[in-house]
Amino acid sequence: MLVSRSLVAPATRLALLTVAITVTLSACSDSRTASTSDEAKPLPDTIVIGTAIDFEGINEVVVRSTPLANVILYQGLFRTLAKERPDYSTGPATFEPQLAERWEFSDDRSTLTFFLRDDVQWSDGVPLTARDVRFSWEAQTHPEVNWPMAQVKEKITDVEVIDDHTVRFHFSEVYAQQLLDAVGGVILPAHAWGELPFDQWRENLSWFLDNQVVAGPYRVADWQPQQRIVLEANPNYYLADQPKTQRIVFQIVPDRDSRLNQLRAGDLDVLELSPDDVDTLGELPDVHFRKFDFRQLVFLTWNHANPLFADPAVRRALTFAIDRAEIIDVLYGEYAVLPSSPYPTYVWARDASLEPRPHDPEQAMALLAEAGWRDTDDDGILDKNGEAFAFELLTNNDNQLRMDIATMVQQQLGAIGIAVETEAIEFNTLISREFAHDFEATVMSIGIDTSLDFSWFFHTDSIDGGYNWMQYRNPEVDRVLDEIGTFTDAKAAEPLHHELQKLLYDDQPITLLYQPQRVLATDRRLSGIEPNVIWSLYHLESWHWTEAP
Amino acid sequence: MARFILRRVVAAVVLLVLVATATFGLVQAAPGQPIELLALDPRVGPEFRAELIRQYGLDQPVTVQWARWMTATLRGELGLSFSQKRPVSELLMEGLGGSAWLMAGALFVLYIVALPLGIVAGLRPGSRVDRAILVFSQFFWALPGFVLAVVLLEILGVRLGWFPLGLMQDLDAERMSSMDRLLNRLHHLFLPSLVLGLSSVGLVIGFVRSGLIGVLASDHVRAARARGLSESRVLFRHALPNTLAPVIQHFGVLMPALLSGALIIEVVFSWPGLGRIGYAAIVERDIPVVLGTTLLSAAVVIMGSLLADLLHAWIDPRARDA
Repeated sequence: MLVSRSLVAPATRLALLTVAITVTLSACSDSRTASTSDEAKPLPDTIVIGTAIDFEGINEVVVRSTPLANVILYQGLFRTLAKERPDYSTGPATFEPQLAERWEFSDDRSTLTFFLRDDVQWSDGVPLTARDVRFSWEAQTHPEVNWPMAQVKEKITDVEVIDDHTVRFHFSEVYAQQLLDAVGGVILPAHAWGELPFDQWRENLSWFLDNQVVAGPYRVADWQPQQRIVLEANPNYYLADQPKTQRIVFQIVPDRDSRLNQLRAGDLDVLELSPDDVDTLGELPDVHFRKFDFRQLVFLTWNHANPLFADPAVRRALTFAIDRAEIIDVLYGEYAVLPSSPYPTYVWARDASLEPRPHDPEQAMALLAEAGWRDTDDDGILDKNGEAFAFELLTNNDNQLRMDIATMVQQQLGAIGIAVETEAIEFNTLISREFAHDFEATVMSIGIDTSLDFSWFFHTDSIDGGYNWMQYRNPEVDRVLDEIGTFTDAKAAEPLHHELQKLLYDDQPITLLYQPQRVLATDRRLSGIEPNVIWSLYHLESWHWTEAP
Repeated sequence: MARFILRRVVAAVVLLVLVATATFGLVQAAPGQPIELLALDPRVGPEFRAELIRQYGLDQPVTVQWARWMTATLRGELGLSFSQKRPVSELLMEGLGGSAWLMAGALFVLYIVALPLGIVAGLRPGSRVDRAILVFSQFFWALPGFVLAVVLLEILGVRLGWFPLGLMQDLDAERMSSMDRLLNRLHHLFLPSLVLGLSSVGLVIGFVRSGLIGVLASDHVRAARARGLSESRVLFRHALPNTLAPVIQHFGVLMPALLSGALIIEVVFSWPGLGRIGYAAIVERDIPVVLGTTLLSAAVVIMGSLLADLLHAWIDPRARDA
């Protein structure tokens, strides 16, 4: 999504199967060796990108929001009114015009008017107008369409067509994310897709590909399920000099080792990697590795309804007792950082004065002793009122990194007299138990976006049906979260963001473990590629070859 | 014969219904809601989840869900995939194409390798050649398919570049002439078929070898030899036809081995097929697709063994009374 509220799913969910065979790789015999001396070689017109999963269809409101779908729909096939710039580290999100040339709020900010470009045509030659914008909003909010992200449109009461190129959004209230919410979602072709009633959209996913009408730089030229998705330049795209490359091919390779092999052999030009993959690959002469921040946080959730974790001082002690630097060092090396709060290190609103809590087992012991936890029966386990400090730490069994984390946490907490049992269960089960608050502690992750709205995670209202799995309740935190939401000038809310970070720092509702980074491997002769937190495959339309491989 | 066929067909249908019900029960018993994975996004509200549960009929009691699915299946409707919202039958047809190529390729490799080796071994049981063949077949029987796949891919694919590293055809295969396209397909098919075929080679060598030993020791072969026929005539006119008939019957045993082996091959070689569709569906709790792929695989296996039984009964009337 433009608003990058990503999946909670572990990264490995993408890999259907990882065959644990290590073949000693030697780069020298790869076909990615120095290029031939043939100077006259024409530049290729195709870029091949590897992906683990297949794609489902081209209608954003009824397909799942997978990373692949987002890239194809947002970067390739469709356009939004405006596009979030990757400038999240310098200040609140700003927007680059896309279908809208400019926009303005009414004085009371209850309406937002967009002025559309007048030179945009759909791929079938029909002009793109304000009616398409209204139609898209109708589709996004229709109950039978049931767009997963419909919540972003909750406070938009109407989308009014003023004329062909002017459209006005009406809001039920004034709040910080109005522009973000208005531009969320791609613009859909009313004249083409309006022919299928909304209540039939969910059941007819392939109808939209059969009736393909797009406005982006690319169109789907061929889809061979489980094999390839071939995008081809859309000749009707409104920017004449784009896209720079005629064809973008997504090659579907579910097995991790096969993906790495195809990259080594030069069958893939672009592939997103985990740090582990980079280690496996080693140096490749023609591949450039770009490290970028990944919008995910990995942490331990404590169930606050459990008396063990109800006391903030105990949770602080747990954080002190866990050597997070070691976990990062062992599992990620240079590809993860330790943030001091759930605000990732790359966002503007983070409070840089907060230092991540150090590994300090002595302070942990002291805090626990103060809270009444002592080893009175000399069995090596802390106890209080005859109860031992023992709990079960759950993780998902398809993610080796998480299982390793659980084991390390078990050892580190064991060292100060806390008995941890680890159990790896199936991912769906784990998620169901998180929502049902049926756990003591878990290793989990969430996707973080640049809007910096954490109410869905820490607000008391998010305990039921939301993502406050911990059952964290702090009225102060609720107040600050509510107040942040009312600011229309996001920058002015900075002190409140800092206040929230301090509150979370003291309460430790979760124990943060790390903020992972990812790597994008690309052929050295490709240009225009700049992965960022929002998009690993950003500005697809300007990627091009500078030299033939 | 007609009664025999009828009996076997009825048994096959009953077996299919049992397999379907057992799969349905297993999927239901597995923890976790299929919906959770579809809705793992902080901005996805509880309403969305509730609506999906209602749309998919997951709010109904299990027995009702089973009855609905059974009646629809009997009518030939397998429903819509939860994740892709496309008819399950459409997904299965896509997968079936890829699987059929792979099966055909694997069977070809299997028989091309196993028949001659089985015959050679059967002609001289206990000889050095026989023992060498035994080692060969045990080796491939014991070697997991994916190990062979990874090694072959590394050597023949990545290092030597002789074979593509997976997928069913080149990117531009659609622009090729139909002859080139076929060659391209076979080029892509070679390694996966080789790996899948070799994994069952030991089984077939065993069938052929023991069958041939038995036949060579039988009275009519001894009679043929006694009549002074040449060894090759004895072998090709008398012994082999009697050996190969039972081998056909073993086809029914091979199918399950090949089908389960195909899953890993499809993943490693990025080959589109039923195995991959089924595996992805299990991970995503896409119940209609899980049920569809299981049912289809079961049907293929049951049909295979039914066909083998019928062939056997046709060749050997004694089997009809069994």
